[in-house]
Amino acid sequence: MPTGYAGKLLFVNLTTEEIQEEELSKELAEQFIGGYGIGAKILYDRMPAGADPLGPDSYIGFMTGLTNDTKTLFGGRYTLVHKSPITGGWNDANSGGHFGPELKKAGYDGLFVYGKAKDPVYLYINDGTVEIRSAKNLWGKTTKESLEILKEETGEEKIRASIIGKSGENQAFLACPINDRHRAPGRGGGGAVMGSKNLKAVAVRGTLKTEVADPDKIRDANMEISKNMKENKGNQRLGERGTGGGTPSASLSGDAPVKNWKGIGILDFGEASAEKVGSKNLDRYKTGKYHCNSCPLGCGAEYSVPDGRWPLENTQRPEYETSGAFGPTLLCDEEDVIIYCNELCNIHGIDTISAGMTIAWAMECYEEGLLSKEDLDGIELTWGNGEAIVELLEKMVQGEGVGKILANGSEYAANHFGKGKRYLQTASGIELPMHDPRYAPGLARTYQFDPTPGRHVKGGLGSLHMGNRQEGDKYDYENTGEIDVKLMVHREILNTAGFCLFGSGVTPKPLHHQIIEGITGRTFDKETARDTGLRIYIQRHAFNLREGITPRDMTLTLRAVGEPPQDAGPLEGITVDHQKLGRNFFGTLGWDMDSGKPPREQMEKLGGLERVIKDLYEG
Amino acid sequence: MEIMVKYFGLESIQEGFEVILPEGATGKDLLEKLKKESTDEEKILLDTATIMINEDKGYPGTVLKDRDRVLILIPLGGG
Repeated sequence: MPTGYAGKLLFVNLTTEEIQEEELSKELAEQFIGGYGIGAKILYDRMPAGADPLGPDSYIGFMTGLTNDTKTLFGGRYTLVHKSPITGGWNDANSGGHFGPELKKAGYDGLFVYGKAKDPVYLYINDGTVEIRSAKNLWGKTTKESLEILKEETGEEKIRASIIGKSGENQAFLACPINDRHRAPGRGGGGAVMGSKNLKAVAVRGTLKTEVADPDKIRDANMEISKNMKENKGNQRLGERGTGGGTPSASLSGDAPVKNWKGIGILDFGEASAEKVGSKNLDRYKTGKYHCNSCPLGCGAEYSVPDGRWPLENTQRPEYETSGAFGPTLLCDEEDVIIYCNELCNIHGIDTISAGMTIAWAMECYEEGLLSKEDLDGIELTWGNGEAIVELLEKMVQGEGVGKILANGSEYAANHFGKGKRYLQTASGIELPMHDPRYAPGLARTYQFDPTPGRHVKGGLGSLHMGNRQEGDKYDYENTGEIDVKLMVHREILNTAGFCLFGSGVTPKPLHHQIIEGITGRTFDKETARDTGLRIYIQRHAFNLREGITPRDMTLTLRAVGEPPQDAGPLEGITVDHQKLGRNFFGTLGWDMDSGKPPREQMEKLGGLERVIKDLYEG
Repeated sequence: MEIMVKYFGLESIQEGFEVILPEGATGKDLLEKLKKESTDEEKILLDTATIMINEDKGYPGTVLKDRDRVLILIPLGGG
């Protein structure tokens, strides 16, 4: 068994109710680390090409990160992997909370579910025992209600669970599971995949301990991280206000999209509205802090809204992406709307980013007369109309009326109505997150060409641009490939190892490598990191190629890259050369953009990609 | 002349304040003055900030006018 791992992968066929354990091989662990690395390899090898993402042949994986349950600071994230019903391609989405470490403590590095249960079920995993249990009594319950029932049914107060709500049960494309009441691998439709299998939840309880190779190495790294945190006020601010502390600034600087990406924050939203949607204002409802597993920072917060239109006793602080998606994107500055929409998304299990962005698309269609009040079930969907936003979101999460269409996302809705395509703000069909490539141009490459499109958490030059930490002019598109690739491969390591990106500001790259060495006991130097990151990226990319998706098929809507450019504000005159950024990136990799094929020699040298080589060059 | 300055994204400086600069001062002059009164960390953040002057994007060479309102927008950097 490789050191630092639970040592087992779990496979559950819900059609036949077969439960199988497999040893995690040393080779697989070393080549793909964990998380979506191992997830991509398993899905590529075992899931049939062209499988319907919502059909019984599709797989969904719940993957721990290498750092889970190793006492590594910021090492608590797990990843959901599957084929996306939105993009039709590879999907991974990760989440904090405590679910990942608990799954590893229960004895598994990853769980793969396929087939389809006849009736609603949940999986109960407790220290290596696995049961498929009826979830008939949970069907229709919210994620928070379900968690309480699961605790009662299992008699385990400390149970952790990844649970779908009504949206997942409806197989709405935007659905996601929720773990720990308010943490979500939100993007790409994993909740729909669970719903299609009649899988209400995965509930885990573990008391096993992961053995690591060199605890001192991890402890030393943790001490350095703690020291860095004490000296980093930005990190401390994140702990105090969460990511939503940055929403006002982003709303005005051009980082956050405004009015479905056509607005100008300073003019259309304004300073006062921007301040209202930030967590400095929202925190008047704060009742406590929330920390994910092994997190010393605690960027989450518990809220209670005692009165007003939507009182909530036990709710949580909206994060930046959520306050952006329901705030400036919709021109809404009503704080109770943002908090309530966050709660609706969490209890019914739907992606806040795509939900807000889909409403933004519908708002613009309504403004332009493409969708009528009748089309929208009588809702007057004007910009900033908080009550209309809540009413429409309630329909989406419940799958009622027009909400049933919109819960499948903006592209699905545009196809359904046969109009409004020009107002879509998407990458390969999935709604864009709350960071604008006109502000951070490197994101244009990531959004368009990453194997998991439309993500701000994927690696590349955009991660520097978001913080304005680049050297030189960020709008200079010459020679961007080398740094873009370098940052991409490092991010592959962070994501698959289960590191939280909010710790990366206080964890220099050598410390990440030191921690991996401390956990696994093997050398993890710069060359190993580079090769491993690239191997994982190729494995995700190969999943798309097998589905017939080449880089030339990957799209990014034009407003987000300034075609045409805005005529005022901080992004005035900016057009991003996203195709050149793509050419530079693939050029540095040495890949042909038309076929999308990585060179055979490159893959042979990396190793671990024999199946991909066979499919691409011998098929 | 008096310039009205307000930071967004820096909780240690929440309220707007006035800065006195000589006539003809530029955006760069304002930033240099602010940096003199800033901690090391704030200086770094100032270098990454987006500057808006009234409702337009500000540049180092932009000549400021009396009563201009300057927003200093600190990047979130992700999230």
